[in-house]
Amino acid sequence: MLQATDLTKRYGGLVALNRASFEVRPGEIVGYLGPNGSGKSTTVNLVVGLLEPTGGSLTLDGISIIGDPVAYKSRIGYVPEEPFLYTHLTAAEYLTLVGQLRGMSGGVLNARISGLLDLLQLHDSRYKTMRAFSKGMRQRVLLAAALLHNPRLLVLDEPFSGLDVNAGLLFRTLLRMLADEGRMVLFSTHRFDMVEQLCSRVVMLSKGCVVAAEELAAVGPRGSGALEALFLRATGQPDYTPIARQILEAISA
Amino acid sequence: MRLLIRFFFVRLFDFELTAESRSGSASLSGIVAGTAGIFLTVGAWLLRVFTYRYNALRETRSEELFQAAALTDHTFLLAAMMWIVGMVAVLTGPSLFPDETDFRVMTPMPVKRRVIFGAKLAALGLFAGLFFAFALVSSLPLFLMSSIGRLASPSWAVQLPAFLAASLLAVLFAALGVAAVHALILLAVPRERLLPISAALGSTMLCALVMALPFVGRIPSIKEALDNGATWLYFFPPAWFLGVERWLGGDARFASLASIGAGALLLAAAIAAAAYVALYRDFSRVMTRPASDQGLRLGDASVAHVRPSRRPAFTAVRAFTSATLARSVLHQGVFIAVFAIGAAVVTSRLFDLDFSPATLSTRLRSADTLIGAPFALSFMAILAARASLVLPIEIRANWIFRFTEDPKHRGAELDAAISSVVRLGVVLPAVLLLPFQWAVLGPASLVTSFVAALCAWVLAEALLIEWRRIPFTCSYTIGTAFIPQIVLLGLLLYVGYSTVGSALALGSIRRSPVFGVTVCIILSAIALGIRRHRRWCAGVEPLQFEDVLPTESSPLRLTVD
Repeated sequence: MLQATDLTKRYGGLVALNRASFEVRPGEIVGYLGPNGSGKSTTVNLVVGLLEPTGGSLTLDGISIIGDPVAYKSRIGYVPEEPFLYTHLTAAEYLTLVGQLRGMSGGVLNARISGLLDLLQLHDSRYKTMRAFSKGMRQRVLLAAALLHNPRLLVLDEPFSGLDVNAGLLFRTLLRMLADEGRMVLFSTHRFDMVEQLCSRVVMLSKGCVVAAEELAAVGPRGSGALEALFLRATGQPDYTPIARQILEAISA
Repeated sequence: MRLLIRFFFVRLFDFELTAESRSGSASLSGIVAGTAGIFLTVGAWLLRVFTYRYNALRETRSEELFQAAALTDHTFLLAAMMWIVGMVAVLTGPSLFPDETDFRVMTPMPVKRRVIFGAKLAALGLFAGLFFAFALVSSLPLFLMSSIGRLASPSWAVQLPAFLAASLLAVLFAALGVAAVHALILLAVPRERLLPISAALGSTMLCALVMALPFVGRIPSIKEALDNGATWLYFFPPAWFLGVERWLGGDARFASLASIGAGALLLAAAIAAAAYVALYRDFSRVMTRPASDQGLRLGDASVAHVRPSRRPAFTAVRAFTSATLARSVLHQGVFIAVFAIGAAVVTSRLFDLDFSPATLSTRLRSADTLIGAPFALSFMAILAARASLVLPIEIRANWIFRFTEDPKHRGAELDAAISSVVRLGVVLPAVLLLPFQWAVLGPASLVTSFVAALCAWVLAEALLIEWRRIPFTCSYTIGTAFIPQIVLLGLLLYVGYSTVGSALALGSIRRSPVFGVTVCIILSAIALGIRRHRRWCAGVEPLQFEDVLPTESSPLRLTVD
């Protein structure tokens, strides 16, 4: 289980995340929702160990990120929001690099890379450097890299942006199957529809604080707009209708 | 149109050397001011040299000597201008034609293709013109120094317009020659191969230009060559344009050289123009042609054929380094440019050597030069490799190395970086120079090469003793060091390294074998000791992903306390 307790991150005087507590249990897909600047990316960076927390604790299956960061991180697969990759490498070269950095080599790594390239429909592009890849293709390479070492927890930051319809369907099905196998999935997103379709639980964030953590079933029927209503209420978002009207007026003037 | 010209013009100054690019205008003004400063400084220094030279020649009162020197010096001035503009064209090579970025950014905008191409051409013209102007302003006093006076013939009033015309044609040839080569590559090479081939080509041209630099100052007597009917004149582009200058000044002896120059210029212009027209007509097709699966086969590393490894992290970083150096224009260019300086110094020395069976004294002189050569080359090669590894590539992609950092693997990852420097800075120079050493020293060259390689290994390990980076993954801040201080330290280090190293290598073949073996043991022990210390540090210190500014500022102390 991933357990975040009073997780805090300060940048000088700025508090990016303030005593956030949440958990992801085995077999769960947890959606992490919040407006821009609410601390979503900070949380994700803390969870995957790219940032050090100022306060609080983070444990994965009882292993603390402070006590044993290597063991902690070896159980995590991460797909960042922007596909930051070494685009002068081919997909196979990138996956080889990631696998070897994780201590894998030889037959096991070969088999996993070939299998993932095939299943993620990247096999035909195996000789091309990733410079020519679309955003969706790069996301698929990142997913392959995140799955390469068979992680316990998969952390995804806006995983569906830039994906085509087929890849999106594949991603969703894969996430469900990973959860069915008892793995944990934490994904940060702006999309209510994705959260409703996939998640069993949702954590909402506003101004660096967790403002809601609910079972999806308790929020209301899927597609009823209950999740959106909860989000607007919990995060204190204004009614955007007048602003939209003003924009229309501005461009028509 | 003016906006687009400005956009393309400013972009030509962006060599992408910084991790975070500065604003275009700041970069532009800095580079222009820096370039003007360099030209004026070199010009002023040469003016001093020319003044001494031509005052001495005037004192001889010999028209023949004066005019022979003027011929050679005009060739030198033309060669220098061609070199400068050629170098600029090579450095901006990928921007000489509208590229895929221009296509994707400009085409959807309400801008006619004619305007895009026109603006690009105008920006290139301005750019080349700027450097030509700097070079011309710096060289005009030198030209006048060698053309004014009663010993000069024809008079300076006849020579000046001819020189200006010849200079213009010469730099046009240099720029269009580079453009023509890029044009052929752009149109003929499949899109997926364009980048590596263009990178390799740019690096080769860069290397050739840097290596040619010492020879610009060693142009032999043109008059003598002309009198002897030397064939090398017909393969030496600056001589073609000297022919143009002299022919325009009324000397018919240079007509054949001038006609070669004119023909070469027309050919380069025709190829570049044809490429521009072809690209203009088929912009969409050329830029969007599909990449074929067969296009890029990068060897075993590109497909999943990972061999079992006891140190996978070492293998990973080494493969990453090799792939980046092979495919990144910037990193390859930096390595080649710095390495070529060493290669130029060595080539210049080798040029004077006599490799034919000769007297003992000639052989010994050659041996001394050859024994010293690996030190010059390895010194620059190590600096070149280090400089290249320091520059980042896709800095925001380094999260994968931060995410997978493991103290157990850190030593192996750093070893991989050092091994790349050793391969490029130690092994490559030794292999390149061994045939020359063998030609003069015979089997003894194996001993001197081995000692030189060990010295280079010690230098590489010493220069990287505080290295905590995975190559290309750390941000880079320009201007963290005081350049004159660095240059002075570098010179002192070079003098110490080459003097001690040459003495050890020479001693190893001239003294007893015990001396050679002892030297090898001591050098190996030093290198291994430094390596051991670095590995120990790697176990306790984290990897560095952010370049750090110096912790202490150096006060100028302009006031008395």
